[in-house]
Formats: sequence, structure tokens, C-alpha cells
Amino acid sequence: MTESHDAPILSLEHVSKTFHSGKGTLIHAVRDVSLVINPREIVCLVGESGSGKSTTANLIMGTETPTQGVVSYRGQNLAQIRTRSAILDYRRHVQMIFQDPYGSLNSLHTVGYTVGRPMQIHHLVPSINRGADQILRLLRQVGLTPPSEYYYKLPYQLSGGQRQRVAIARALAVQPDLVVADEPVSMLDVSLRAGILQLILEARESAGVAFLYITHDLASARYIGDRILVMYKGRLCEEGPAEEVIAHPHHPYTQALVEAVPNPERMGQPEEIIVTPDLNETKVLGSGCPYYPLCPVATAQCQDTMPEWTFVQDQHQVRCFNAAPLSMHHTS
Amino acid sequence: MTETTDIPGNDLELLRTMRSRNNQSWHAFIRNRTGMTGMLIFLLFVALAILAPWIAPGNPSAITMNILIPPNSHYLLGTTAEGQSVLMQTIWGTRSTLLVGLSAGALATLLSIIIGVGGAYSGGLVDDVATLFSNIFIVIPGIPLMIVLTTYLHHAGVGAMILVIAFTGWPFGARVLRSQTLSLRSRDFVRAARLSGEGTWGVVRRELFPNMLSLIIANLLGTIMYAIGAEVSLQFLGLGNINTVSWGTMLYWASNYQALLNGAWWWIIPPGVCIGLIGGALALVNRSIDEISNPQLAMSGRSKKRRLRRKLA
Repeated sequence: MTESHDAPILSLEHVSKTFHSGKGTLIHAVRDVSLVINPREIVCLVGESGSGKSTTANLIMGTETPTQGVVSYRGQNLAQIRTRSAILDYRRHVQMIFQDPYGSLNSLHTVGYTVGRPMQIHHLVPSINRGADQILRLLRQVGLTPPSEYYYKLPYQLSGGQRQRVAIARALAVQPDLVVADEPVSMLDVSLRAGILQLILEARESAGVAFLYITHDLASARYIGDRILVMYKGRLCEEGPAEEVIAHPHHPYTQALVEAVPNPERMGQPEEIIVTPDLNETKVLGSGCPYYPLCPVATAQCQDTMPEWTFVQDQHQVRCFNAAPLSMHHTS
Repeated sequence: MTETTDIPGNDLELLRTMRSRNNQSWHAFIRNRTGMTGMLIFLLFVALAILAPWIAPGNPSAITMNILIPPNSHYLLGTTAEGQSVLMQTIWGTRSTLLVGLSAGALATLLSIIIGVGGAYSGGLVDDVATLFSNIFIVIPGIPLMIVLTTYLHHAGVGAMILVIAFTGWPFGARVLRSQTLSLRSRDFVRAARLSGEGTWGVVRRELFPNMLSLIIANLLGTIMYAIGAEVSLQFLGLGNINTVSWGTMLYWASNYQALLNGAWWWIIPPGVCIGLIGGALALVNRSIDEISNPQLAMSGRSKKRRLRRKLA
């Protein structure tokens, strides 16, 4: 999608994941999702909670297996990675940052151990102690300075932002190609968010790491993303360059999201209030567009048929029969 | 700290000075007054048990004509109705009580770990079977079962006694460890470790066990106390070998000779006090281990205030 000549690091082809709930009903967490992540690219997966973002992350990390479709890393199907050494090799190249920095660090391990242990597992250093200079360099890189002050700190001695920096250092420790960041700033103070996002950008610049940045916050997606994918109820509904998607959203759901972002330019204008009724799961899980029950421009067709992708711009595509730029629906 | 430069060597040097400041938990335990008090009392009993032949040489069961003598300068704790020295019996009795208590406690805890942690970490059918077993054993009342088993084994020796107590003492710990494992297993840091390439055994050893250590030790200490209590109860009921010397058999004979009616308080109090002291000592150690394994707890309460006061002074 971007003008990279390299093959994509990771691709999902028509991936679906269905869970069985206790009562025998099926929950379609992810439906027919296709996406690629190219080297050095920051792809943002945007959606509300329950849209299947985290399941997508788990599918990529291999902790869930797809019900249908193929997740492949550099052309190799993840489902066929079975041996211990092959799994280790995959872990070495694809890492993850978790949402909650209070839960993702073991409270009994020092910062040095937490960051050094993955290096040791993957034989990048002979031992944690003998890799100390590399660990210190990494701590400095994620902004924990002076690094020697932090090396022996335990998580409870750190703030949320510092913990998340440690978690990022741990993910970067093995020099991965791709890091899946599952809402890495949503639990942090607003004042700390920009710093963490800046770190992600720096990691891309200096180490060439690609990111899948999962968020429900369009503003941060615009800030760091090259591309934005919008997800709703397990389906992707719009995809395109970050600026373009935010400036000219075509899918009614994306438009609702963009309008929900506080915007000083629209101050004073009456806000269109989007009511989200508590929807019965089964109602939206038909064969049609999942956004149909809420959509202001829905037609009878939308209820039965899921629209195919249509390009609205070069690289900007949308899955909607009635897609049109925002201004056309904006009645105010 | 000092100003830093971009030379990594400087950081390494600073790190070396920090390393010496980093306290190992062992040092923390030694400095913990509560824990050390308990440990000293416990070690005192261990020393008594080991050194019994040198501290109180002779046969503790030897019968003399000096019957039911109150404590005096010769018999520091008086004598029994068969003229045996209560002091000597108390010292020698430590051996059997500690041996049974420690081994049965350790064995029961091992069973709890294998069934509780193993079941919960494997999940699925293994967990279901393990849970079923522990539930069945929890509802079977321990003491009556032990009585039935020891009666069946007919004046059980030390080995049989250990097995019986361990066999009835594990299910509660297994349940506690199981629920702790279940809660830890799904935590993000365990997932993170797995995603960074840690294998199953590595996750258990490096992520789960350190977090469960205080619970395992608390469980061990609790089971040891339970085992000591169970051993004393069984001996008191005359279900063990009544001819061995232990705190339980002392109480058995004291009750048989109606020591209380005869006013022979010195025969009953020493074993009772010893049982209480060991129980208290284990509880103190338990508390300090809790403090050390949870660094936040160590800084709370009195110790924090004390540190603050020292800082202000």
C-alpha cells in the first residue's frame, strides 16, 4: 500500500475468528479481515471496544488460531509454525506491548531483568548481567535516564508512564520487525501519551520497526499512523492513509467516529448526537453490514448483503454501498 | 544521582555501585525483627531435637521411684507418675514431634503444589479431576479419617503417621494454590513472558513461582502447624506408639494417670507451652515472609513509620 518495494512483514487474508459462547451461540469476533503491514509502517487499527481489535492482535501473536483464513509472516503461514525453534524465531521478530502497564510487568522482577530476559532467551546476550550495557542503552533509548538508576528498580517504584517505557524496552529488546501495540497509551495520563507515541515514532526511525497500533482514539491514530484501518463489530469498514481517512471519511461509522473527536473548529455548532442503542448481538450478526442498524444512510440492501471494498481514492477504500464524503451527510 | 554522559561505560560503573545497594531478600529476612524472633525460637527447638542426647543424656522413659515430684533443683520440671523427668521427656519429645510435623507438612505441601498448581496450569480435564479430588478430600473430616486410618494401621509407627497426616492435610492448600495459579496464569505479565519466548517451565519457574512463593511458604508453615497438632492429637488419643516419647504421648500418659486431678500441673504445661511456642514461631516467620515477598507491604505500617521517624531525626 505504501511505496515500499519490500514484501509485507505480515498479512491477514480473509481471517475470521469465531468463539463459542457457553450457551451454544457463536460470537464472530473477527470476520473476513484482510490487511498487510509493510516494513517500517505504522498501521492503526481503530475501533470501539468489542470491535475485535484485541482478537486481531491475538491472532497475529499466535495466541489464537483463526477459524478461517490465513495469517502469514513474511509469506509463511503462522498455523504451520509448530516447532519450538520456529516459534522462538517468530517471537524474536514479532513482539507485543500491552495496554495495562500495571499488569504487564511482573512486580517481583527488576527493570533490568524484565528487559534483559528476552535478550537472554533469544541468545542476543550471554546472560542478563553480561548484557547490562545493552540493557542500559535500551533504557536510555526509551527515555529512562539515567538508566543505571532504573536498572534495579521494581515496578512498584515506577509511575505508569515509566512502566510503559519499560514494557516498550522489553518489546524492542529482541530487535523485532513488528510490534503489536494494544492500546499502549489508553491507561496513561493524557500528559504522558505524547511521550509514549513519540517513542514509537523514534523506534520506527532508528530501528525500522513496524507497528500495528491498536486504539479507539482517532486523534492518536492520526498523530502516529501512516495508514488507518477502521473496524466495527469484527469487520473492517474503511482503510486508507491516516490524514486522508480523517479528513475525508467515507464510511458512515468512520464519520461518526471523526465527529465524536472534540474539534475546536466546530465549537459553537450544535453537535449531532449519535445514540448507540444496546444492540442484541444476534441482530447485527446477519449477513449484512454490521453498522446497518445504526446507519443514517442505510438501505434495504445493507441488511442482507455485506458490501465489497470500493476505492474512493487511490489507496483509500471503503466497504459501504452508500459511501460519500462527510459533507454530504452533514445536515447541520 | 550524578550527572550522566553518553558513555555507556559510565553507566556500567554506576550500575556496579547500585548493585551493592540492591538488597537480596535473604538480607531483608535477617533484618526483619519479627521473622528473626520466630526463626530463633524455631531453631531453638530444632537444636533441642538434634542435641537431645547431649543436653539430656540417658533414657527419658527410665522409670524411677521419684513419683510426681513437683519442680525442684534436681528435677527442674518435676517428674511423672512413673518417676520420669518431665524436662527430659519434653526435650526428647521434640524429636518425634518435629520429625513428624516437618516431614508431614512438607509432604502435604508438595501434594498441594502438584495437584493444585499442576491442575490449574494444565487446565481442562486434568484440572477437573484434580479439583474433584481436592473437593472430596476437603469435605472428609480430617481428624476422624486420621483416627480410622491409624487404628487400621494399628499403633502406627512414625512413617505411617507421616503418611496419614500428609494424606489428609493437602486439599485445602491445593485449593488455595489452584486459585492463585488460575489468577496469575491469565495475567498480562505471564502472557508477556510467553510472548517473549519463555517456555512453559520457564514461565512456571520464573514468573508464577516467585509470585506464589509467599503463599507456598505460608501454606507450608500452616501445614507444619497442622501436622504437629494432628500428631499430638493422635498420640494423645493413644493411636500412635504410646511407648515412644513425644509431647502427645506425654499428654496421653498425663491424662491416663489423671495428672490434673493429682495436681501435677508440671506434667501438662511443658508440652503444651512447647506446642504453643512452635505454633507462634511459625506464625511470626510466616508474617515476615509475607512482608518480604510483597515489597509494598514491607513499606507499610510500622516499619514505614519507623523509617520515616529515623529520617526526620
